[in-house]
Amino acid sequence: MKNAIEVSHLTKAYGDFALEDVSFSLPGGAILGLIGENGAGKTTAIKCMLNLIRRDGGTIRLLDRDNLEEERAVKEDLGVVLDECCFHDGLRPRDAGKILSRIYRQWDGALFRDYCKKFSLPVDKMVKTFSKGMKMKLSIAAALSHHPRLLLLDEATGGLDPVVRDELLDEFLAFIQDEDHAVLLSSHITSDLEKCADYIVYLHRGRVALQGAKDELLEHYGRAACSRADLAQIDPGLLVGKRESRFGCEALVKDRRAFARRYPNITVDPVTLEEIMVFTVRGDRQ
Amino acid sequence: MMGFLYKDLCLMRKQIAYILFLTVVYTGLTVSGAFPSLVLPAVVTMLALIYPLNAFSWDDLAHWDRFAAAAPAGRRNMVAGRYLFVILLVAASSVFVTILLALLHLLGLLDGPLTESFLTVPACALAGLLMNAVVLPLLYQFGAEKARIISVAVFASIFGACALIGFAGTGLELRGIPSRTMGLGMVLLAAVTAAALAISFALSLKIYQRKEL
Repeated sequence: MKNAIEVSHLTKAYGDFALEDVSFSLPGGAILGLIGENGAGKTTAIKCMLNLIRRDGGTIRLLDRDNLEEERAVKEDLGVVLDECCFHDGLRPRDAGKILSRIYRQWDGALFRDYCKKFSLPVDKMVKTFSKGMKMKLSIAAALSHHPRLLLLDEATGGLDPVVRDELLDEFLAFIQDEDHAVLLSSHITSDLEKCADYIVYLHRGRVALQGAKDELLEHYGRAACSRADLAQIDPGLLVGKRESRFGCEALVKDRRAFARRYPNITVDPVTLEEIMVFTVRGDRQ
Repeated sequence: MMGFLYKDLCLMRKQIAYILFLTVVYTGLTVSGAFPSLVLPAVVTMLALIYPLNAFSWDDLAHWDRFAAAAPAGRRNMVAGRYLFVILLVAASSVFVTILLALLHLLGLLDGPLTESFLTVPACALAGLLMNAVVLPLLYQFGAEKARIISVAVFASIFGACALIGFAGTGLELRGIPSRTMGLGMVLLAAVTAAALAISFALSLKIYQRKEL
């Protein structure tokens, strides 16, 4: 497998929003974090991959196969977790297992029971009695139990407490230990992605604002803290966005090392994914 | 398809106690003479109209459609599963009501000829399927909430028309119709229902395959 995901020039227009010319790829054995503010197009991109909505242009290849031409075969190898648990309140995990065993050819009932046990999910209790975390764990157990090769997770960790999130991230990391497996995790909890993602794609207003290997992005970008007067002297081409307050200014710089060489008197700190997101949005507004 | 059908049956399972309660109430009212015996077969039509609607509502509440459409079985099997569910629901409730009618006749609790009671069961079942043939594409097009109003309108207009015929004193006397005519009528109704279901399935599939989830 060359790439688990290859999205090329994906476009999808709604009335007031458009996903425009989105391209990214994800190699096997890696986790891609899809980040972006609400309404940036993360879910739309995932829905296009799953053919839940019709794309207007571009191509999508998942696990070396076109997602439309070989839809059924592709979907047999996909584990999908959407932002909400999709199992009815009146079902029990045992029922969900039986339903999915009739939907996925490679369903592994024993594996599903193991995951339920691992996640402390009572198989005979109704979904309606589950907490949000338990529901999400059930969705993840279901997504993993047919031996998928690619996990597509749309806000799967949103609304969960840090302990549950950490537990799930460990599961995703275990999943990609083999080069034949990969995970796309859309989230705006960027701290989760800093823990587990290898690659980041940042969608902003329907376009890819930046993408690359997470470590390189975090190494490349920096946060400059300076006075208003210092900020005025900085070449605007080096800045992505800025934040001014009564106490001083902060700015996101593109090439932290080059910046430090050019402005040795200005402190440049390492940056987080969240800061990259926030400054990019601010820069765009300014 | 079997997974989707199994899911509908699992959810339906939780409703069995309610259906049994309803049947006991209707049976009691029929046996006491408050309702005519033809009301019991109408339970089949009622279930045929209520439960498919409920199945759509439950799916909407759980956001099941997005998840199911992301599965390999695909939209065609989702639609096929729902149609099969409706047919099985009608078949199972028809068998149940037929047995119930036979028991009530055997116990001497129902008046009138047994054949008349028996004939009304398939007639009601076919009517239920025919109504579903109309309502299911609407459910796929508009979703459970909007289509519920249309379904109620379909249901009310059919039963309203029947009631008007009854009030006008021109009610059909089944006993007066020759059995051959009755048989032909039933075959014709079955053929119309089968054709309507086939067209309805094709329409629902077309609607659902275009739908953005």
